[in-house]
Amino acid sequence: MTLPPRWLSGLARRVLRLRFPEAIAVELEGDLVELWMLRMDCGRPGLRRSLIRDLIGLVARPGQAGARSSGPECRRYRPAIASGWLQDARQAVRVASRQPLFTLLAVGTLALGISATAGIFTATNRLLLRPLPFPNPASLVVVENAPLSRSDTAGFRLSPGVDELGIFAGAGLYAQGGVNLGSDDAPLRVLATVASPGFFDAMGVRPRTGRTYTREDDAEGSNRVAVISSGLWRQLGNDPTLVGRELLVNLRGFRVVGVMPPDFDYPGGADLWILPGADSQVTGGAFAPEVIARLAPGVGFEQATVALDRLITERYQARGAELRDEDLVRLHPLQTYLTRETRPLLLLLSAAVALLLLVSCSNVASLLLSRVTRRQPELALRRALGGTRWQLGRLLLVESLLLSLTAGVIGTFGAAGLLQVIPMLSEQPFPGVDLAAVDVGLLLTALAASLGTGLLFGVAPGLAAALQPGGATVRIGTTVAGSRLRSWFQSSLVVLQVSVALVLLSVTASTVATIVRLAAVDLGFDNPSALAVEVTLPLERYGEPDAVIGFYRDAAARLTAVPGVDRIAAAGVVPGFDSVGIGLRLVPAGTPAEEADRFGYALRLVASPGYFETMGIRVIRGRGFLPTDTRSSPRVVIVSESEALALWPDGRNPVGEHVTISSPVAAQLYEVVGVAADVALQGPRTERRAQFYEPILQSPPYGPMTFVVESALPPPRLMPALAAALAEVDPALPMYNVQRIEDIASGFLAAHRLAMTLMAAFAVVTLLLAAIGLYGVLAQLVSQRTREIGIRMALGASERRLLAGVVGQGLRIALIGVVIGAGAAGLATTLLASFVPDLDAPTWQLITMTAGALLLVTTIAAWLPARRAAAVDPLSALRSAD
Amino acid sequence: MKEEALGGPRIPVYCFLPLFVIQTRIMKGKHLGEFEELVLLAVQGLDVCAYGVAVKVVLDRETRRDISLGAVYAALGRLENKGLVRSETVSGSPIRGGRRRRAFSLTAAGHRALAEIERVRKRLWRLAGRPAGGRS
Repeated sequence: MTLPPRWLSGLARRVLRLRFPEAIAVELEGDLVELWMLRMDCGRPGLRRSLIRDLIGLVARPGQAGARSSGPECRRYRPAIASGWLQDARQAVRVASRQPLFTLLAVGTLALGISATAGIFTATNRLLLRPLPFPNPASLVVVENAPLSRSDTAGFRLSPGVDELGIFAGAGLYAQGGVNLGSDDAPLRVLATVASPGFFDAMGVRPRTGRTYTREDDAEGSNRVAVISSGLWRQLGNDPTLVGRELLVNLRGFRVVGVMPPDFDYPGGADLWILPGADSQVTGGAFAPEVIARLAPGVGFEQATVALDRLITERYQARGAELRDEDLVRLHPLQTYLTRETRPLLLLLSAAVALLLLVSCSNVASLLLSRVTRRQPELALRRALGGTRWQLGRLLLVESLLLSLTAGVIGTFGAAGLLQVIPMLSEQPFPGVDLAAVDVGLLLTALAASLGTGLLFGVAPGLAAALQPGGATVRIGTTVAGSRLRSWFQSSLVVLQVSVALVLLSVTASTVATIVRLAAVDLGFDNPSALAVEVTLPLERYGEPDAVIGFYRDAAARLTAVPGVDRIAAAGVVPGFDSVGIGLRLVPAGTPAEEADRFGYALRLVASPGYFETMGIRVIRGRGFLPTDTRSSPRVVIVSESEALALWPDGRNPVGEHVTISSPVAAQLYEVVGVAADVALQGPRTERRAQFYEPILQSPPYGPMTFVVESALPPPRLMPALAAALAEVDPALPMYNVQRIEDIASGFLAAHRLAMTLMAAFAVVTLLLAAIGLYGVLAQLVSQRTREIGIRMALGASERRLLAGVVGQGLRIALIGVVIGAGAAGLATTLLASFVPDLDAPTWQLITMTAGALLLVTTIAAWLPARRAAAVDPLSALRSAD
Repeated sequence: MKEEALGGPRIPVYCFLPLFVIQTRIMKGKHLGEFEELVLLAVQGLDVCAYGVAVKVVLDRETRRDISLGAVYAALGRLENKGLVRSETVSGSPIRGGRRRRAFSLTAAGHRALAEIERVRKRLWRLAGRPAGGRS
């Protein structure tokens, strides 16, 4: 004797409890069981059908025995078909809480998708789509390779020819650098912008108090004026009388003429704007400005580009020089320019999260669809009790929306968390954009994502429910055609998931490969136990070479004496620091003046004795600098490998050769004493330029000086002692930019690593979802085929064959996905390579490897239900069939 | 569905016609429908064993119809409301997993109602000139 199948008795129990008080429900349940047994004894067919009919009969009739009229016992009674959205929602909550595992899985899947989507899309919106917080931001452009001219008094400025073109309503130069602000006792280190008066014309932002400086200020003697940010103004004590007063910038008095409004933040992080002629040391004496301009009204982007091209061509022709492609003027819309590093990464991530969301949606759709199958008796009952197709569809839709909105709430937190890390995708700050803010936009994005997904994945099960056969007929199980259609649908969802997973995995694999390649690049420097600290020597006090050399000797002696310090060295600029160096032209001694143009510019660096050893830069030939390379000894230089090759292409040993530095200053003879390895000053992604070094004791740097300290002690323990030692030499010099050399090296790739980590996370989640999806579809197929499997086993099919059958079915689905995915992956990476500049296209080996991994995971996912199929007891499988 | 569920030979509907004709007012303001009458009779016949499933089985067998359990309970409910039967909860047999069942028994009013019906029927049969229970 067999009891009714568990699903049926469970259904009956639930239905009865919905309708009747507990006591009566138990009695009626007993009746149903008894009837089942009696019928089975009589060998009646259609046991389940009869039971369902009895159940309907019990539930549908009013005025039951024991459920007398409307006694207090009957309060639990509710119509079996909910009549409104609210009731649907209540029902949905009930359904969700009855299947906590299912709910957790669905909500978790969706929350992952929604948080990734909302986070990345909010960032994309804030950085790439939302207009910059300047007046009419669309007409702001950054001019690359702008024609500049140089005057002795005010330094660089835009060529007068540009003004005559009349294409710009305003144009200015700017560059950034750090300054020491304030008096000797408590100097403040702030980021200053050297900006020509045209800068403010171009930006078009009015100061909140005072004025911005103008061309009239830009004259020798009157150019020590400064505009400060609201942030700095607050930091200086919110003093309303500050405008008009003097501020010490690098120990020189500057008159504050204006305070900018709080939301003005350009270039990002700037606190102080001064004229280019006012302080030549802010940018280390070299002024390599960027040019920002506002297009004149009515002037288009193309028109301006063409006009500038014509101008620069004429200038080159007049000089008889050859105009190379990289010398051409290029205009960039400001927003594009500011996001040039982040844009490709964000677009990459956006594509990834869109795919991830698609997969999580399809996965939940598939989950819900199989639940519809399991809930068929319930749905049939609802239909039989008079529920319309619309009501049934609506109920399922409300259930989907409940899931997606819950996921949306969780996803919003996830998105807010994601937004905290996204600013690290770029080294440049974004002016006026608070990326991490949680605002209405983010909430709306999350809401839209969850509503969208709810509708997207809710439609399929809703339709399936609405298409339930209606009328009085209550059918058990599904029609063959219906189940075939559904399993076809679910299989294609899995195919989609597998192919998307493959695309994401191969793109991730290629980003990993790219980063591994970049990380393996020899940067030319490496010392795991060294750190760099920067100071700026104000020209006011350190204007003479002897003063700088004196400071170096003094500081070096005191820093070496700090306990725990193994050795120290100094340089003007070390790798990774954003100070700008000067490009000069080295020429082998004896080269005729007219041939000097053949040689390119090399970056001039300054290094102390022991610098190469402390920084871990290889000296390939000759020697490093010695304490004896002083102003009184013969001039020496060390050239980098590529500079040596540029100077002497015949590959001779440059040590002992002589060069001159072709500069406006008198040509002096230098002896090459060594060849050092090329150093990637700006990281592995930028082209290395030829470099040469001068000894610090012969040609000391002006402005920034960086000490490299090698010590076994961790930086936090070392820092106070170092600061104290420096303060003994000069208390007015704040120490800043403290970084371990290792961190400088890894910092170059930090943004890419983060993007890769996010990509990898998205890809792995997608892979997991695809595996779960495949598992779900196969598990359902197996449970549908239980009878068939039972027959096969009864006829002698081996366990292995059954396993192979199910796994094979899973693999077939996965394989179709892999084939489609491989094609799509090839396509996607080719597409990606076009907007992510240094992304390597994945090799076919990589895609094959990824596909292999994917098939392995899907095999595991298929093996689990297969094992269940093989464990089927043939007798009970045969009997369980209706 | 009906066809499948019905077992055994079918009895022409007109055999039951006389029962439909008799719609007598038995108690003050309360009809006793045909089905209620059958249920009441079954409860009487089952004596102490009268509960939902048993009533259904007896009626199924005797009327050769497939009577819904819900209909049985609905009728029992109405009869209880009319005061013709009363019910009590008793422990259940192992066949129903030991779940309690509701045992029904006739009240005095129920007995009276049945007696009244029988009387009426007998009178009517006599009027019809044929012995009760005969078949054409």
